[in-house]
Amino acid sequence: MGRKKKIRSLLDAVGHLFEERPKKKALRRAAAFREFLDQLRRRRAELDAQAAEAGEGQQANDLREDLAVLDDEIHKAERLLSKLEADEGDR
Amino acid sequence: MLRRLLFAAIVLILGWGMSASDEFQTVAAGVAIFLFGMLFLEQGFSAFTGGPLERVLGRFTSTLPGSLTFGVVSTSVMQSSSLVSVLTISFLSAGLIGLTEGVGIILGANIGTTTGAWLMAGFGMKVTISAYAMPMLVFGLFFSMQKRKGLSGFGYVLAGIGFLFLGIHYMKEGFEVLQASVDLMKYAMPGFTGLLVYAGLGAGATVVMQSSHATLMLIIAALAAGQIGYESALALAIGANVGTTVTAALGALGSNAAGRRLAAAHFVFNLVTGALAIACIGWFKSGVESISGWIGLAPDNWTLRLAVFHTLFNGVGVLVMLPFVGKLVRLLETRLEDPPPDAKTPLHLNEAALKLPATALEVLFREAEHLYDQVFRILAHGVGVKRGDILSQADLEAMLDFDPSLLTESVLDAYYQRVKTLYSAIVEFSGRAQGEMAPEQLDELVAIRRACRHLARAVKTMTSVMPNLEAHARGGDPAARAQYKELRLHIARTLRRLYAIKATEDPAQQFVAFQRLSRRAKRRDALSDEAMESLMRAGAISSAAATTLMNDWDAAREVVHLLRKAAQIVFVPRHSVLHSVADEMLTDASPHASYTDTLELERFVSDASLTGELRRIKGSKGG
Repeated sequence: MGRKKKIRSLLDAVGHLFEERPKKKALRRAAAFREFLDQLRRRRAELDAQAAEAGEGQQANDLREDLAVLDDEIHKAERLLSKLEADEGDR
Repeated sequence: MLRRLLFAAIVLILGWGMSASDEFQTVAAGVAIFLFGMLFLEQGFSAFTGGPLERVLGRFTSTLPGSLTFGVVSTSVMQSSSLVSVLTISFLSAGLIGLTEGVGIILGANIGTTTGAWLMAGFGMKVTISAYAMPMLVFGLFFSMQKRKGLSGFGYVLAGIGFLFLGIHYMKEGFEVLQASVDLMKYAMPGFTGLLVYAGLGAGATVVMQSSHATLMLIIAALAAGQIGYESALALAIGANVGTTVTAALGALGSNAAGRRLAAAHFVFNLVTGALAIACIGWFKSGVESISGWIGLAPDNWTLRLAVFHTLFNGVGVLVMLPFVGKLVRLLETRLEDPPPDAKTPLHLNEAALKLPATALEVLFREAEHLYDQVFRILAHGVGVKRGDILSQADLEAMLDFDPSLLTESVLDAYYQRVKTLYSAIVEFSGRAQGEMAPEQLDELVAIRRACRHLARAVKTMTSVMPNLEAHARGGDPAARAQYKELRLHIARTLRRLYAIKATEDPAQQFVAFQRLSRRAKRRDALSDEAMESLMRAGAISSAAATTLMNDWDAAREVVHLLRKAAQIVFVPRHSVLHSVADEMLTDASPHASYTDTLELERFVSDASLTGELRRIKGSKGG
């Protein structure tokens, strides 16, 4: 390895050290989103089962509305997670 | 008065001593440098209290053996039982650990602190310790000037150790020179009286220096120089152990009952251990002899024998006291209680919790919940329903025959007497707590303050509706009366649904419930707008009454919206995954949101210290 390359890799290593903190924060956020997404999907499955049992009426309508909103929110969380993962990859 | 007299006496004695004797001056300077080193060390370790130390404390102190081990290890590493005491009291007063675990940490700290005597006697007396002090001071001060908290903390610790070493060097030197001119051994008091007098001296010196470590170093230095006898040194060490409880007691002064209980337990433990050591001094000395023989200590190595004694009597003390921890905890819990809760005064905020950012945040969250409870009661009574009825499954509509007896005080009075006082206390406390906080903690603190502001504003907004609401509760125009009943029902239902969310543990369930509440509020808004239009078209209410009603509906929407926003902060547990993703996922979609957020943004602009929150709000608005 040439001298310049050595210096550059050393500087990169130092830079990497200083980047550790934000990276850890991004990793933690991504992990939180993954866990939250899992929980949303589990909740969606539960609500789906409840809606199937509820038949018609106000409660069933509420459940179906919850499901629709939950689908939107799951998409939103997925988008945010992929953005976080992309940021993670860029670092 | 006594404190002032003591202060003046110490200043005079120190002044006289230093002018009369160069050796005394050297020893006193050694003690001063040593104490300065302790301050640096504590400052350095407190740099790590923003996260790592608290995580370790939280994880390993759920059981008595765990907390005992934590006490031993943390005090051995940090060489400061005072810092461990302060941390423990802070955690205890925030309710993050129980009294039994707190007592476990303190017992462990008593053993951990004995490692200092080993280091000093085994290392400090044998090598030229000042040679190590110099580079430590240079590097320590250089690191302490760095911006990164970790590096700066490391620098303080390094410099702290450097100062400790330098202090020990001066103490050693002072006593060695003193030996040539004065023989303190002449004043040694033999027998049991001597034991008691020296124990008292040790306790007194520790109270003055507020550090048993410094007293112990002084004892070891004097013992090594032959200025005090072995027996006197043992008594002084026992006294130092009792004297150190005063530091803990001072730390607990601003604490709640939990902190005071811990300080009392510490005092009882150290007093019993001290009494035991004095009463059984002969047995302990034989024990020291045996242990010293096993580990191969030279017969004249008095300083290390003192270290053995220090560890032995503290270890025996822990063993003797461990079976009584449960009883002691129960006794202290019944004897030392917090004053009965008062709606006007904060329930959870206390001085001891301010020592650590994490504990300060925890008590702030709890106090915000307390404020929510108060606001809940005021609003429930405001709409004419008992708190218990809202919390029950009873049909709210049937209960809305306005009960004026519930309004023992006006909502405006309640706002000034209860909400505003609590809110002000929270703002004041958070202002004091924010100085040491990391950016993420600062964001949480700002969120709590925002929740409290929402709550205060919800009550204040409600005051504007109350005159019309009361007037239309029983009399007035039937169409308007029906509308005001709807309005009250809307607020009462919101309060009930929010409490259901609070009772929910599952983050996804909480999230869905918040979304459903937001949807219902929007639907309710549309319905009331529609109802108003049709009433006016049908000529059922006058235009004047309609505009008043519309204003009041706007105020009610604002109340509901503020309650929901506050609940999104206060009711989501801090350990919940929903809390971690709340910024992105719990954005309120109410039509009032943008207006409210703009107001918030304007307010934050004037608060320069909260730049983290500003960045976050601005960022979420795209610049």
